[in-house]
Amino acid sequence: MEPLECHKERRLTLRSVDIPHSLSASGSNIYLVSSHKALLKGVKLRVTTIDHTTGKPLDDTTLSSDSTLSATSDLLAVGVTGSKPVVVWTDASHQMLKVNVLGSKNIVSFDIKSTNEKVDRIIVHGSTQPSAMPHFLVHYQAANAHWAEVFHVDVKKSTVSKAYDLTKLGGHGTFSASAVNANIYFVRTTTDEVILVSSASHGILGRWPIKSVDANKLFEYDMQPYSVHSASEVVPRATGSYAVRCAVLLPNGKWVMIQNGESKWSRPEMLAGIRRAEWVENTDIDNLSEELEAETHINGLSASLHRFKRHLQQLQDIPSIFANLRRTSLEWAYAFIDNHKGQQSQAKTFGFDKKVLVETDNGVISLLDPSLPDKVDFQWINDESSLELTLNEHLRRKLHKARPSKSSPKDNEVDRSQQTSYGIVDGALQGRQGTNSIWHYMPAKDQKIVDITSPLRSEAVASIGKVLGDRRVLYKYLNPNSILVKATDDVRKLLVITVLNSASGSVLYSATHQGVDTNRPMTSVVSENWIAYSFTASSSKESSSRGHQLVMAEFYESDLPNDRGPLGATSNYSAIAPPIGSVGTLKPHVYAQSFHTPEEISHMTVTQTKQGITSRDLLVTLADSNGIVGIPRQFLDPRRPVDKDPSSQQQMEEGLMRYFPLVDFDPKWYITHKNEVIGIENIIITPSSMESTSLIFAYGLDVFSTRVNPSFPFDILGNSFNKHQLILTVIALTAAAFAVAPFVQKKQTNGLWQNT
Amino acid sequence: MMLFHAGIAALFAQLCLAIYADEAGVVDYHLQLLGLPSNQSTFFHPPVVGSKASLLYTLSNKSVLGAIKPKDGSVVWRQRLSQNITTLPGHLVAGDGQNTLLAAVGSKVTAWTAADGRFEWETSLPDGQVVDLQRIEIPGAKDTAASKDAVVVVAGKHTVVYRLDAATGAVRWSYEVAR
Repeated sequence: MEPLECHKERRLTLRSVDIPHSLSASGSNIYLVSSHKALLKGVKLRVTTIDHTTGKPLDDTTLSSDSTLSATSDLLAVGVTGSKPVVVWTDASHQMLKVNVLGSKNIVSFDIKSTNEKVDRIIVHGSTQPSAMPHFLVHYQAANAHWAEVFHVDVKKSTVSKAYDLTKLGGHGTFSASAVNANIYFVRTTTDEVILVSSASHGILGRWPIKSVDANKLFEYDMQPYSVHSASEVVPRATGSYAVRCAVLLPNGKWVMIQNGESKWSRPEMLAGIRRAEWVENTDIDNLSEELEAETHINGLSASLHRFKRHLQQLQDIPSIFANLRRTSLEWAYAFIDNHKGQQSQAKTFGFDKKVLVETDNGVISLLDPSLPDKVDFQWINDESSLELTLNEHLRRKLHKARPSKSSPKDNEVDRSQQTSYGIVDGALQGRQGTNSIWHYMPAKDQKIVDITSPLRSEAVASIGKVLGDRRVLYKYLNPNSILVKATDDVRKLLVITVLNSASGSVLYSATHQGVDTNRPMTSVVSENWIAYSFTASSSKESSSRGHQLVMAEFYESDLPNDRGPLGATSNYSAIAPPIGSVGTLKPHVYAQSFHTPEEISHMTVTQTKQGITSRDLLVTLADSNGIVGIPRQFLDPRRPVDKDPSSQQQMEEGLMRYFPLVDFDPKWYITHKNEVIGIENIIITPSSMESTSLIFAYGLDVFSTRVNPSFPFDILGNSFNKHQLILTVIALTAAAFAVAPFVQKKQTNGLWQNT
Repeated sequence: MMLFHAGIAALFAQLCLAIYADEAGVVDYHLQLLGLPSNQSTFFHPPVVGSKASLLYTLSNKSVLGAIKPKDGSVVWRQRLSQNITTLPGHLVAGDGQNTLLAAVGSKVTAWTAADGRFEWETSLPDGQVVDLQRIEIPGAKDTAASKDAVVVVAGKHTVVYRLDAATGAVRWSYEVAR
């Protein structure tokens, strides 16, 4: 037994495995081309001929390609021609081109003539239509030049011969083949023009200069992150001329259509691969607010001097205000006359024109302007080696390099040794202060931490308590250091939610859910004093409910209204070392309720406004119906009374509704209205200058951006407000007042005289 | 009871989030993207046999199959072929004189109507990933539907070549390549 098996194994290891490469099914048979490493060096190609009706192998030949072909990446094309498919490869140094007609054994060699440039890429173009002539084009691309050669395959003799050359041109270019009946046309797109040739002869059939696309020349782009290719369609017209349409993928990721030299449209397809995005922070306002804060902290005399200096600096802006006076007054007038245009021009004052920084998956950072979504403003490659920098810091550094000003980009001047941070180390969560580890959180046995959610850094909270119906206050437990840790147990199907104080590591709240499908998305969000998370549960013997669930939990300092809890009203407490003793670790009082949602939630986030007064909406992304829904908080209030109606006070003052397990998505809540927004992975939200509005940018596959008003746009006059009628009424009343004035005066004088 | 709750819900819902029809395209914008079109799988093709106009079809690097109107660059239809975030190589072929497109991503081959993107059939090939997909365009074969079948090579533990029926996706024959 054993000697036979040893024999078999030895035989198999001598011959390496065939890796299938391509199929060609347009000749008279089906050809499968696979490759395997030859004994000494190089790669041998194996061509298997398969009968197309029965699927039985007819022939199996191995081409002796190992002398030139060193890697399968040099195998350029299989079957590019229709009726006589060929296989084309090159050697490692790109100096020889080898062609073999599939089905025959002879290999034809051609020298690649490149004067002194090294050929970087070789691409073969042809058409697989069986009725088209078996001609193909080989495109050579060097660093600064490109050229091509056209070859013909002789149908009867199964040989390949070179037909003609296409002249060498500078820069980058792309070719594509288009078959019309039996003729094949090759379309050459270079930086400046589109050239059309037929595969039969080298005569140029048409030449169209390219009018500039996006104010750039077509392929001139100092970065080449994406390789260029094109697809084209040639229509011969009755008059003998041709119409050529060419869809080219540019190096910057845009897909453009060039019709007879004119660019018709361009699609920013590189935005489908956005890795991360950030709203651009408005640095001017930040600087001003920093200066104002500085003034409040220093003593009286130096604060007034500082303010004096700031006012003197602002005086220098006066000439520019006068220069712009005419323009701003015209804008004002425009806004009055035309409501619609007025809204657009007021976007700047309202803060709706914020820009977004995006980084796509090839490392290019771009600046998007929401008002002109198709136009992508300046781009640059992320060349900073550190991945920890946020995109805004990249922008600041780039602007600083372009316009070095006196103030250098402020890196955080915080004492890093006092900062606490946390991270996962060996499956456990560890908190550090500086470099010392101060706390440790291990999930239970068989559980692993899958996700950590932290609240947004700059969240504004407007009120410290929730006012109840009877005018008492439940004080909110506001801890900016709270983080939500999700741990799952795949075997027992458990989801364990733990809310930790990330500065001290103490557990504030913990919940376990059973019967959870841990392979499905589980999302969560942490905001001011509440957390929300969603998961999908299948029914188990512990819990009978089944479906997509959304759980909401709110934290309060104490369960008694008007009570501040164990800390009382102390102004200072230590985040790292909470008081021990009779108080224990300070745990907040939690109200939690869970609801069913009709669809699965794939991402969850919260709207943000500048001062936090507007109620917050929970924005959930629905992957199944390709939409984004904003759920108002009233529906997710965990204090909704269960099994009884809310008392009239609760209903009127707090807006509580009776608890009902299903939160059905009202169609008006869909902020994507009729758009099918596919593949959203993340939504970033920023407050605008108006308190009622948040700006949203969603990316993933599609890009979607809008404004959300969770409590109705209460601080913006809408379109329906009739400004003209108001002005006319005021003018009419003023005119009436002036007209009636003499009569009134006369009456008053008469009255005085007649009474006495 | 349900109606009562629905009524209360409707009352509250009116206060929030409804977008007015005249603000719909102005306040928000939506870029319907496909992803970068891949080299081999982008071509012009008439959506219906005999039609003079053609659509631009592509299978992108994000496994989205889409049809673009060449006149203005708008999306006519698109289908997402794979829910994976990681990009799998895909293959797309049309046929000369055929109304359907064949696409292969991962180990599935699917057929879609070229004009409106409706789903026709899907065949899941066992044990491997699709390496290449072609239409049988054998000249001289009788011009029946059978001549436009699909041929697929799958690489897994074994390399297998399948021929799939163009109308139903059923496997006509399979050939396992001897090592």
